[in-house]
Amino acid sequence: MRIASSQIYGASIRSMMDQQSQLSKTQAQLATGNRIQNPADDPIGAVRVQGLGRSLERTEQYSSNSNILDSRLRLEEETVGNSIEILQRVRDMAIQANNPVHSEESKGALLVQLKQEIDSLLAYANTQDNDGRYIFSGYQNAAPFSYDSNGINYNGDDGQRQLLIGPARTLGDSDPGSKVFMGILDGNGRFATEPDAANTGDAYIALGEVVDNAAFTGGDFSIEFIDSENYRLLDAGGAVVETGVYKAGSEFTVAGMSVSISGTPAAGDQFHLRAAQATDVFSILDNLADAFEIAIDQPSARGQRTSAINNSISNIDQAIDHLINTQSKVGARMVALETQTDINAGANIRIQENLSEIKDLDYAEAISRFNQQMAGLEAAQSVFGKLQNLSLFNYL
Amino acid sequence: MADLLSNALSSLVSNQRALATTSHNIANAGTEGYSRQEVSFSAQNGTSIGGLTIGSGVKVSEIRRMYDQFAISQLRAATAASSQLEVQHDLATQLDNNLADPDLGLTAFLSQFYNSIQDVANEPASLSARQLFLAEAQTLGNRFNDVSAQIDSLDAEISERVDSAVAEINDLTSQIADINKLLSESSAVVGGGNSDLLDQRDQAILKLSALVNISSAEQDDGSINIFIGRGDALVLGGNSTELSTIRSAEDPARREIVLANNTGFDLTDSLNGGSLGGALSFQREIIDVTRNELGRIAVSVATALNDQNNAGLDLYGQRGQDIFSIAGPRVSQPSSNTGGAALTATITDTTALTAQDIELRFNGASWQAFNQQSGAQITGFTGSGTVADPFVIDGVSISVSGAANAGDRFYIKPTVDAAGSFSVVMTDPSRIAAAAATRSEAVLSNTGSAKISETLVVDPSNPNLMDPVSISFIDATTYQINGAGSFAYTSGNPIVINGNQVTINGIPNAGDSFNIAANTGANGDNRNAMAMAATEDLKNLVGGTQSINDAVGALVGKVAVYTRSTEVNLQAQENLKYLASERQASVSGVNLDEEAANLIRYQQAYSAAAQAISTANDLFQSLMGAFR
Repeated sequence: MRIASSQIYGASIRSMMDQQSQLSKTQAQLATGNRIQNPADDPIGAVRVQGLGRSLERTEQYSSNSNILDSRLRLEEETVGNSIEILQRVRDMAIQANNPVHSEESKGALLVQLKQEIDSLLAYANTQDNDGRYIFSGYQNAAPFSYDSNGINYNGDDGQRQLLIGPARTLGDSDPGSKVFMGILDGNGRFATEPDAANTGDAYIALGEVVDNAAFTGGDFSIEFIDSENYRLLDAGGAVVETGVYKAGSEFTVAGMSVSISGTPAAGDQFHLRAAQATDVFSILDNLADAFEIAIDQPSARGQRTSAINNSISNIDQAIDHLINTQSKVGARMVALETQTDINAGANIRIQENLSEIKDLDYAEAISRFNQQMAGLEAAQSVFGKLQNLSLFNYL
Repeated sequence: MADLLSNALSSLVSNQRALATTSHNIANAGTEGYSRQEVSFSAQNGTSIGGLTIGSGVKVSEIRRMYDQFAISQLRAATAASSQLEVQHDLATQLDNNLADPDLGLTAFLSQFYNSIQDVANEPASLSARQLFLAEAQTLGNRFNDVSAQIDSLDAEISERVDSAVAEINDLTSQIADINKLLSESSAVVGGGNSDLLDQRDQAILKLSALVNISSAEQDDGSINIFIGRGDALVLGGNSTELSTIRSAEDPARREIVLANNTGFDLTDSLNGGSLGGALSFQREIIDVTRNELGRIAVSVATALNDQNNAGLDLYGQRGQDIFSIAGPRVSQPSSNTGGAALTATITDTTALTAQDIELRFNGASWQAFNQQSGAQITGFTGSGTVADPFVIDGVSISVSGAANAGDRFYIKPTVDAAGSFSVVMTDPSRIAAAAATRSEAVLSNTGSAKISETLVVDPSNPNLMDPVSISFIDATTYQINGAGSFAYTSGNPIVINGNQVTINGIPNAGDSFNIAANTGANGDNRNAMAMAATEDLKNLVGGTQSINDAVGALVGKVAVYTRSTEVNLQAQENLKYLASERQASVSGVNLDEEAANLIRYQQAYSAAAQAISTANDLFQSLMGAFR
């Protein structure tokens, strides 16, 4: 085939340009470590890299969300734990106070101590986190618990924030105070017993229990003493359900409820049974403080006080159960959070591996390619140099 | 002897011509488009003397232009194709890098933006998290604006390319017409005299092919007629027709290409190939679609977040407002419309939105809708075109006011301005509605085990959404709403009241009650912020099949695939062009070694002829000496 002289130059230059452009591409890859320099190099890979990049940033956001949640849950758990300790101390105090050998003076000291414990509990219930937010106020940003002349008030709401800790995985932030410190059913959790305020004897009533679930109606009943030995059992409408002879410590059973009365009742003394009501830790402790203040110079007062303290102790038990329940729920959330943190960390590594597989350069391959291309370019250059000298005119 | 002298002389002259041609070839070895010339000798007819014919020397019968018409046509076609792809690849690479750069692409900004929503959700009362969210929103907005501006500048670059290509085409066609004229005037001249003119014309046609696909027809008088598009003549013999660009009626930023002597007829869509065809097709296939697609993503982001923010409560306890502002559909009409109708279009359903533009035509009786890109008719749209009952086409609601005349048309570009106008209108971080509009609560004295879920706002536009509602149980299976009615209770079944949905689980006691109320003072609530964060994953685009990130990925992928395919095709086409030019060069190109050999050959023939003259001289001298 005929060859035009311009073709010899053209072909050499073209081959050198080709080699150079490949070389510069390989060089850019080696310099950045990225296999994909432009999305067009690998459109599918480039889109995947974008998607994975977002996934990676998301996973990192989830871990930062998780860290925030973790510190908040720790704070809640600690605060609830401290509150439980307070209640346990108060319970011990109540048992001490119920001991008849205790003097009036030591009872006064107990009362001071109790007031202090109530203050500490209030401080715990109004705990603020590092950012100054009250952890038990739900969605509100006010101190959740405060006292006024009518007793304790809840200023928060029922809100519980959820935080995003994984793809479509949310976990609750701290519980609202209304669920932690409030909503505690008094008595034994089913029904409560209390002496009538006008009682004059020193008899007191125990906590009682539900012995027959099927018969339990939650209705109100009263036990009225005709004299210190005879009683009658009345229902809410005042109708006599039962009459009998009283012996100290004897059990009364009505509508599935069983309860015992001890001590010596006076004629006309009454004891009431009613369905449990929702109360809160502060009211429980306030009632205990009120009981501490009852002077025990009269038998009637002794009975009132013993019943009241007994009631408080059972209410404190209910409150402790309630708080332990909350604490274990927080604990369960912390475990779930830890699991999710592990999952996120695993996902993070997996995404990075995928990303690296798609976009990272295989250096060994690239360097050998680079050398090959360099050799190619050098060869093209040397061929050009040699061809250039070939001309018949040199021999004329 | 006289024969010897005249024969030698004819050889001298012929070889001189041959040497001149060779030197012409050598001189033009580097001239672009030059076809080498070759001298043909032929023997002159001899003279008969006494039954013998004695040769009477040589003559140059022809100086041939060495070319192969087929190779030339192939080169033209390959040039048109490769310069089209070159322009497309060049433009696509710019767009590709813009859209998909890991640091500058939309994905990175969307990612930071959605993360900042989660930061607000973590700490809804924190002003710094809210401030960061607004800053990220602003950055995202700027990025939408930037990408849109880059598309616009690419669009403007294309228009400039179109203008300059049209100017070049006009220049080349007038050159070709001039050469046609010269050729037809000198067509009587035989031989190689026109070779260089032909080369120039071929070169001009090749350059023209690099600009746009043409077809040509050679005439008997040697002139060539040039046609473009659907057969519109640019060159007829010695006359050329100019092209010119005018503003498009559809889009004033766009050019329409017309014949200068017939401006009413738009040639634009019929032009293909070459750098002009490449630029035009890029504009049609990529620029328009990319801008619309980007706009659709912007509309979807803005609408989803505005709607969600409007559903919640801000730190002031008020219903949220719009975070973003975004331009609505662009409606335009050509000046040829004669009626007085005006159209108003708004986007009402981002899910149904497409990246295509809509054309509405009035045929005198009814309105017809067409897809402007494909030209296909859109059937099955609803509405009557009034404000109360607008046409709903692809998620766009269109109402018509005034009367249209038959033949009037309107162009509706739903998302063309969206990305460029995407801006943050919220300036006060407290206005971010992180809290839900309502909340539920259990009354503190409840004794049953029933628990109420948080409220879920299912209908933010319900006028009674934030009215207080109480759900009170008269027994374990029956409840009342606001103290009235009697509704059967099933644990776990959702209850929807005034646009709020709640679920009650467990066993309530008689007298237990639950309230739904306005979420006042709830600056620690993050439910609405969580809902905003969740918009990232909602499949709100393309008929509910794509999320925002899917759509961005699809857009980037589309441009990348286009770039990739132009790159691959360009390489193939460049190779074809190279082969065609090799083939052409192998016929027409000058080989200097060949010319050197010819030089020696003709020089030797010349010397030999001179020697023959010298011999003739010797003979003559011998003869003269005989008489001395």
